[in-house]
Amino acid sequence: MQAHNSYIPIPVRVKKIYIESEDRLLRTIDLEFINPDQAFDYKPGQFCQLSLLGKGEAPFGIASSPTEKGFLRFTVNKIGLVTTGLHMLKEGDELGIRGPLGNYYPVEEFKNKNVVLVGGGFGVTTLRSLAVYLRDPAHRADYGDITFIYGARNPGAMIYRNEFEKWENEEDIDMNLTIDKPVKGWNKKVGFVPNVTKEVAPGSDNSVIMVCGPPIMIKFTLPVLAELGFSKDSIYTSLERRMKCGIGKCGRCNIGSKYVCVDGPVFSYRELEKLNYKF
Amino acid sequence: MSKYKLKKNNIENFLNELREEYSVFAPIESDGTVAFQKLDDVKLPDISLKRTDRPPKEIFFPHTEVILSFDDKNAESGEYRGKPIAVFGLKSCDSKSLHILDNVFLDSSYTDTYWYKRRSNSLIFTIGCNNPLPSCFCNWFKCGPFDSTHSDVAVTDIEDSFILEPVSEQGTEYLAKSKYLEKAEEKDIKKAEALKEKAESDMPQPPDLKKLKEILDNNQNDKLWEELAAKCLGCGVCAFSCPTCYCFDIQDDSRRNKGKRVRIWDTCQEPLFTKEGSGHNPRPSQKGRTLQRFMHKLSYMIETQNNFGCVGCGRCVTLCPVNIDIRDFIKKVLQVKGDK
Amino acid sequence: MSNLQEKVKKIFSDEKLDLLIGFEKGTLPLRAAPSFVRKSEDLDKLIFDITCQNNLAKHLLNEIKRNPDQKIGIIAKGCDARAIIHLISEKQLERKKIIIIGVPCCGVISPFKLKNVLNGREVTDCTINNETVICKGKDYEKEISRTDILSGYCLSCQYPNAPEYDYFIGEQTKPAPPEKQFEKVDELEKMTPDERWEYFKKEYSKCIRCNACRNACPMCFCDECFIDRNKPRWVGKGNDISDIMIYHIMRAIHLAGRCTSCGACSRACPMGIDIEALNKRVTKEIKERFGFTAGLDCEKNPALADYKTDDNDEFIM
Repeated sequence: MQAHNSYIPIPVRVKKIYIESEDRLLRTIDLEFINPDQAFDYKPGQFCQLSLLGKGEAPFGIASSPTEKGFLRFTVNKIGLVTTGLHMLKEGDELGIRGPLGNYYPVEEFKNKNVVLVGGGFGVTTLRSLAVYLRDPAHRADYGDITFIYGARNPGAMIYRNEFEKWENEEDIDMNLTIDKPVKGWNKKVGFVPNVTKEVAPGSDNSVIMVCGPPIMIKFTLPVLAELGFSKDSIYTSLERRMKCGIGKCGRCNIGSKYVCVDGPVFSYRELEKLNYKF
Repeated sequence: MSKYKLKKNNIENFLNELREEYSVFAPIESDGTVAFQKLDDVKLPDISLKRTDRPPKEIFFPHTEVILSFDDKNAESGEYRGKPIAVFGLKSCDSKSLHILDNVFLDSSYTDTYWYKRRSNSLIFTIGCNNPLPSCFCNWFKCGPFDSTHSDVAVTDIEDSFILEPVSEQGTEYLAKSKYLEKAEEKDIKKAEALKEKAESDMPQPPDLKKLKEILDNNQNDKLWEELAAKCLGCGVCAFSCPTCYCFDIQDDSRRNKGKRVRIWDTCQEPLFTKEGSGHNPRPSQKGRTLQRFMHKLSYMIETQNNFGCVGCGRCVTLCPVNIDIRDFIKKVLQVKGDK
Repeated sequence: MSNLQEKVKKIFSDEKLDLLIGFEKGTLPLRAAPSFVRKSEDLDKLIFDITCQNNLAKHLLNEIKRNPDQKIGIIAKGCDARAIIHLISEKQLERKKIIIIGVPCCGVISPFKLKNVLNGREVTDCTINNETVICKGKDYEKEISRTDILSGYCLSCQYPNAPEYDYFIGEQTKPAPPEKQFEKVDELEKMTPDERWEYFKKEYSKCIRCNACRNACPMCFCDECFIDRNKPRWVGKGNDISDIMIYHIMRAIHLAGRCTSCGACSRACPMGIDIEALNKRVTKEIKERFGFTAGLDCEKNPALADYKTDDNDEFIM
């Protein structure tokens, strides 16, 4: 019964670094496995623990898609000891990774449906993974319309901006970028995510919707979705919690009897309601 | 199955024999505190009928455990590599607690290597409680002072000797080869049975807990929780004395490029336990934290492993600095109407 | 109805209290529990005796944090009152919102001492007499001298009565002889440094880092304790003896001129660690250097928050 030791990080190397936000507090790193034999497969929505020996570990949603080969992408918000350490890494530096952890967006169940992705701020990481996965030539035909709504405080806080702006010109995805308040030079949408969702989301018929972002954004988006007719089973979100082990042992990320690290992070609104969860 | 007798003047020999094959832990009293400690040539067990002050989980899940040690070049797992572990003198509540922790650490999705390495091939000698303490309430949770379900060998103290009865295959095998055991006589067995009956009847009748979970699940806003939270100091006495509380923290400790990653007992009663890097805390009030601990034991664990997470050992009852008594709480909850 | 309940009832209505914090009978013999009474009729459960081991100032502080707009009455032993007074001097509490009800304290039981005097046997019934406590268990009866089970802090207490109060119920009690106050410290000072080191090592190696001492202490009210900081991390949370020592030494230093010698920390400790020695050593230092004793005067600045030109300064480089 003794499987491998899930606490031991797998060595990876920093392949590329991108500065995401104007305040330089958001940084994206692409990682590659030092020993390709240790590479793991994953699904959109899963997360990993990034591990710096001597500093500790922190959980991050995987921003790359399993259809993108050769790297794992993470976006790191510089807030604590580990994230500061991750920001100090240079290309070529080595670190550890544990994963893939948690469940994923149920992409099999989404087949033949319209998929709406609603992201706010830094919470958009795993939605990028999902969008890339759905748009992959091998999968695109399996799904209906894809609508993506992404809001940030201002253009400077928008992550993956270049890529998302390219997607605006693609035909297989309806891309909607929005910022909270008008800013000179911004000629796209302005307004909070719930309002933009109301404006651009397709009908709820045969659609599923992922809502990821700050709890306050989710809180105000949920009534809009109810208005649009989305059932509680067709709304999904990915939760964040303080985590240590990532494998359901250390006891700190539970909501009722479920652990966000193994039973989540992806939950349907129906499941969360059963758990008495409040945003 | 055959029962054996171990004369008390042979206990040292028996344990030394056990030590040849196992790393043996037994209750030892030092400085007013009884805890399970590893026996060696100097340390002799104190197999009194007292409950240990420190919970037995620390045998398999030490307070502070190195999970990784590292330098610039290498990282090595700190998993246990010693002899299999034998524990002599666990009470039935305590051996049940190991079973509950097995369900957590060895569940089907992930195996906790560190628990597994210490726990695999362990040999558990559970000793019946001849005199359950007033604070004991194991019989509330489908257990009893002589319950040996989760052991390898059931031991009964009949004053001049111990009666040993194998429970598991591993226990049967071990007892069969020990040099210091003799066959138990009918009168010894009778004596052991009488002690068992007496202990069981000595314990007050437990309340009916069938509806407990349902009432708790429907009454999370009840003022009972407010009352508990007002008293609670938010310390870790209950969690650290509890044989089934398993929450831990992981911390790195390093100087220059050499260091270790350790896991350390932690408690859901600490405000920082759930505080996220962003500053957001999903469980900001003491009420939420008190609720978490009791709900985990009395409701969530029924969902995750079909067991109450409390084994009724009574440690938290006697040690809580503000007299939060889980028995009292349960009784009050049972008086709350389920339909509220 | 006892004298205490009767008098408190009158105070409760005269002062229009929103909340009365006191003690009630606990679920175990010789154990009391903090009690929070919001309705006059519930005051019948109040008790005060040698089982009232907690420092209620901690609960007062927590209640005020939760809701600052309540008028709270509090039953106060000498040490509870001193903690409240000190917290007022540190601007953590407002004097006018608190009604201090002094009660005569003859010391409180240390649960760890009791457990060991009874050799681990539990009590099912007890009688509290003037000099002794009679404990009955399943198969024993034992008469114990109070001094064998009272908290060490109580046996050396110089302020058993509230130094400042709004009401006092009962007769004031006598303090311990002055030479008792630092008896524990004097014993340790007689040791050689090596012996002292061994002593502290032995005591602190029992620590399980449950933080009961910190959480029971009314003076430990920081929103973020130094042991919980991780940028930088000052001290580990594990059972490494140096981490344990740093924790206890730092806490003792943070309590310099603030500790009111209530002993709530040592009574909360499940391992029976001698916390008194180190904390009292610091208290003694503050008393000798600055002539300051915490918790006697709401208006007076705490020793380390004050400056006088004639402060003893030979330790300043």
